Parts: sequence; structure tokens; C-alpha cells
Amino acid sequence: MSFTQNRRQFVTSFPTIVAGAALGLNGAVAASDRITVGAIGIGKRNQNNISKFLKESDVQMVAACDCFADRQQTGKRMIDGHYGNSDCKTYRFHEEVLERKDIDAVLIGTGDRWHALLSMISARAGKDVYCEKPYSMTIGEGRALVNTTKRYGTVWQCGTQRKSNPGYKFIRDVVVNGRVGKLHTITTSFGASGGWRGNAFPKPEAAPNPETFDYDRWLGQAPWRPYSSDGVKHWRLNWDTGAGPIADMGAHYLETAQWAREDEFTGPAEFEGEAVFRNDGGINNIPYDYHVRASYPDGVRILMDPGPKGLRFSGDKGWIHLSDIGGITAQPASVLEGLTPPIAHWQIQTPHIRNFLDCMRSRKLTNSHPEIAQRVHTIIHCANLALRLGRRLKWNPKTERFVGDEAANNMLSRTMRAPWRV
Amino acid sequence: MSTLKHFQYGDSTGALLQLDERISAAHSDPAATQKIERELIEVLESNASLAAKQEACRRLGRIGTDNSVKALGSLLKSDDPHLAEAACYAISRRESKAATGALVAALSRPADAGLVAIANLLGDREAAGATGKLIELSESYDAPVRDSAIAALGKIATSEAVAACRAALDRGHSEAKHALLESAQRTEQRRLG
Repeated sequence: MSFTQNRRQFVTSFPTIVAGAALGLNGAVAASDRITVGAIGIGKRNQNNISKFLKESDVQMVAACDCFADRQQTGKRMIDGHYGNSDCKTYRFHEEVLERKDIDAVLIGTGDRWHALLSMISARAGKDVYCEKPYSMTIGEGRALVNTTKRYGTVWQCGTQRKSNPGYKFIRDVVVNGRVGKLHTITTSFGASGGWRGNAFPKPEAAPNPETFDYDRWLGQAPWRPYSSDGVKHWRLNWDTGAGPIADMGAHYLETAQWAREDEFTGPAEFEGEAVFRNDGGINNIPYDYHVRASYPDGVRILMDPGPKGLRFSGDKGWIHLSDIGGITAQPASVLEGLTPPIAHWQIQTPHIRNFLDCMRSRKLTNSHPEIAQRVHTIIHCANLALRLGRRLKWNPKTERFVGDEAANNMLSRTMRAPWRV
Repeated sequence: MSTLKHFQYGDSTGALLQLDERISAAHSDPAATQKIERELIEVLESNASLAAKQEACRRLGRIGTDNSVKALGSLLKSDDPHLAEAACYAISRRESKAATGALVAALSRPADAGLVAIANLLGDREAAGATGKLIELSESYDAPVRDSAIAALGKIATSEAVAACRAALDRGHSEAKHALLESAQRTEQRRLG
């Protein structure tokens, strides 16, 4: 692959003394063979990702970018602390990261509204991408990302680490092997924690100095509104800036649901449900409580609710359940007879990162490649739209349009705030 | 709707929730939906705040028809780029000639975020009728305006638009490289039907 080849050529032609460790003579991965990564977004989630990427011996993290100046420094401290040097550069603008020819990939962990857009911008700049979920704000934006990564040959992985978690593969295999019988229902519970039910009442304030916090960058594609510290702090509670609770956890569980059906390139054709929204006048306009039913053409149903985080597959011979902290249970006992369930805790992330890095070298599709992620996120967005519109929606997975509902089709994409575009 | 007319940033969002519920309830009642659209247009044509007009535009994006294009066309030409962007949000869902015409007419606005948003939208619509003006803008000294025009030309992908992208590439604008890739893909898609 080009990045390795170029660096190898550079090392072999450079007439100077290079430390043995840098060439991999002490068993380490030679600098010329390391994948260089820049992190964009240094909030808590991406700090966790960075810590995992740093543990990979063939990775060299070199950049930390964020619209919060203090987070840039947090990223630099983490990276420099790991390598014992001061090489990590900090950036406010992602353009400066993407201009660096020495960076092979970016690790995107920003607010939801930036994920797809930054992925596309990065693809155009020739970078491979590991991107946090939910990766899109709309179905249209997601499809644009699929097209863009195809056009530029980008290796892209959605940060749904459960897809590479042995526990999730285990329950998928149990279902595929018919141990629960004929599958009829997949129950996905996304949890009511994480502050989804809170609220805030943002008041316009003077925007901070952009050198300290660049509000315009933070806002990104979202419709303009005046700065409010509460609006920034509670961005997840509003459709303008976040994709909501179903998107947050659904990206994981619905991916496993599609995987276990062995049909990851289509999706349910009908969505209906009920939601309660907060009505106390605050910023929170996402579902407070919800129940969604999505039906595949073959009759299998997906249920979505805010119960304790977990995933259950029910068939005519029994069920298997996986809780987010890793416990696997089943009824009747024969479902698991002769099997030893592996540990399935959600924090098992390394296999997914490893898959991304290996695919960067092989140029193969990742475990959670764009088309898979698009179909998963389509389920999410359809569910959200059914709740927001308060009616049953019929979906055509081939045309990626709603049937007989133009108001719903009008919400398949949304105009981005300038200068951003897909 | 009178509450919406007086809506300001920081106000309770209760009125917005009620409006959304009213729109949902009117889904299978065209007359009721048209009435809501007329009321939203009234908000746009009043001296309501930017916040109120933004919220009205959001709803027009869902239920608006060509009846709202005239009012949105005025916003597209507004001195306030935020208002022009809000109008883009609403008019982007209208695929009619009238809507495209309003967008093309608004390309004469000053070089600001509103103009960038309009150029982006014309690209998304593959609006060949905007080609001439977009070619002019592709030579703008304002980088966001220039790049948005080049990107739009790549999506329009007519021979004239592609030639303009090539010319932009010759002038050293990197956006043209991506626009040409876009045009190649769109041309192929059109060829395949």
C-alpha cells in the first residue's frame, strides 16, 4: 500500500543514522510501517478511543484537533505521555490535520452532526477513517458518505465496536444456527440513562473567544442559533445537534440484529411506534419514552424501547439475551447446551480497532463498513421519523424512500449550514 | 401561530411542540395542512424575529408547497445570511421550477454564507439553469463562494459546467478536482438511467 511503500522508500534512501527502534530492530513496528493517525474531537468518548489506538504497536498518533482549546491539550498530553515525547501537534481546524501528507487515517469522535461530514471531507483528503457512531444525522447524509467512500476508495469503519466483540458474534451464531428456532422478534433496549431524559433552558449568551472555544466550528452543519453554554452542554438532547437515544445505542444493537438475520444490505419495511416528548419548554425535543416496532417483509419484528441496555433474539424454540455489561442468558437451557458464552462487555473495543487497522493494510472492507452502517442507521432514522411524525411509515429499502408520505420523504435529508455540504 | 410570531431564542419551546403536534394531526387533512402553511407564510412575511422565521422555515420544509416559494424567495434575498439559510432549509424540499427559479434569482445576493448555501442547494438540485451565474461565481475571490460554485458545477455536470470545472482546476483550485470526480460519477449515472 502506498503509505507503507512511500515511507519505506524514504527510510532506505535517507542517508543518515536512524535509531534502531525506529526501524523496528528491537521488535517494535518500524516507523516506516506504522499507521499515522490524527484524532479529531477529543471529548470523553474519543479520549477512550485514543487510549485504545495508542496500545496498537503499529499505530503512531500524531495530531489532536478540537474546537475546545483545552481538549486539544488533553489529547496532546495523552499522546505525548504515551510516547514520551512532545511530537503531537494540536489543531483547532480539521483542515490543517487533513492537509498533512504524513497522516494516513483520522479517528473521528466529535458531536453527531460532524461524523458523516468529517468522514466525507477526510475521504476526499485521502485519509482512511474510524468514525464514532451515530455516523449520520439523516438517511441522505449517510448515503452520501457511502458514495464518497466508494469514490475515493476509503477504508472506513463505523465505531460500533460490538460488531467485533466475541460475545456479539456468539449470540449471532446461536441465532443463525437455529438454536432459538425460527426467529420472530428482536428486542433492542437502549437504556434511559446517559442524560437523555434531562432538560435545559438555553439563553443566548456572548460567544466565547474562538481561540478558547470555536462555537461556529462546534455548531458545524447544524442550523445557526446564538451561543448558549447550556445549548452546547446538552447538545445530545436536540435534533439539531444530536441524533437521539435510538441512534446512540441502536447503532450497536441494530447492527447485530441485521447481522443475525444474515441480511445486512436491506432492512425493515414498516415502522410504527409511540413516543412521549418533554413539554416543559426546554431544549429537549427527543423522545423521553418510546416504543418502536419495525417489521421486515418476512414478518420478523424489531422492538425498540428505553429498557435496560441489551439485546434479545426470540424464536419459536426459545430466546437468547445479551446485556450491555456482558451477561448472556437464554431460555430454555438447551439454547446454550454445550456452549460456553464468551465475555461480551461493551468495552471490548480492541478487535474492532484491529480490524480497521488490518483493513487499512489489506484495503478490504471493514466489519462495519459504510453500506452496513448505512442500513443500520436507516433503521434508526426511520424509527425516529415515525416517532416524530406520530404515524406509521412504510419504507422501501431499495429506493430508500418512504411510500406515500412526502412529508416523511422531506425529512430524508436536511440542508447543511454553509459552508458545509455533502 | 401568534405565539410563534413572537418567538425569540431562549423562549419556551412549548409553542413549537404544539405546532408540531398540529402539523402531525393535519397529516391526512390537506385543507388543515394548507391552513398551517398559510399561517407559516404569514410569519415569514411579518416582522417576526429571526428565531420565529427559522422555526417557520423548518415546518415549511416538511409541509410547504409552491405556495410558500414567493415568501421564501424574499428571504433568500434577505440581508441577513441566517434568514437566507433558513429559507434554503425550507425550499430545498420543493423540486419545482418555481423553487429553482427563486434560488437562481437569489444568486445575485452578496457574497456571504447565504450565497454559499444557495449555490450548494443549486448543485444538489443539478440546476442546469444556474450554470451561467455559477460559472461567474466560480471565479469569485471569496473562497467559500468560489468553492461552493465549483462544487455545484460538478454536480450539474453538463458539458458547460464540466468545462468550467476544468478551467477552475487550471487556475489551481483544488475543489475542482473533487467536482470533476463528482461530475464523472453523475454523468455515468445519467447515462445508465
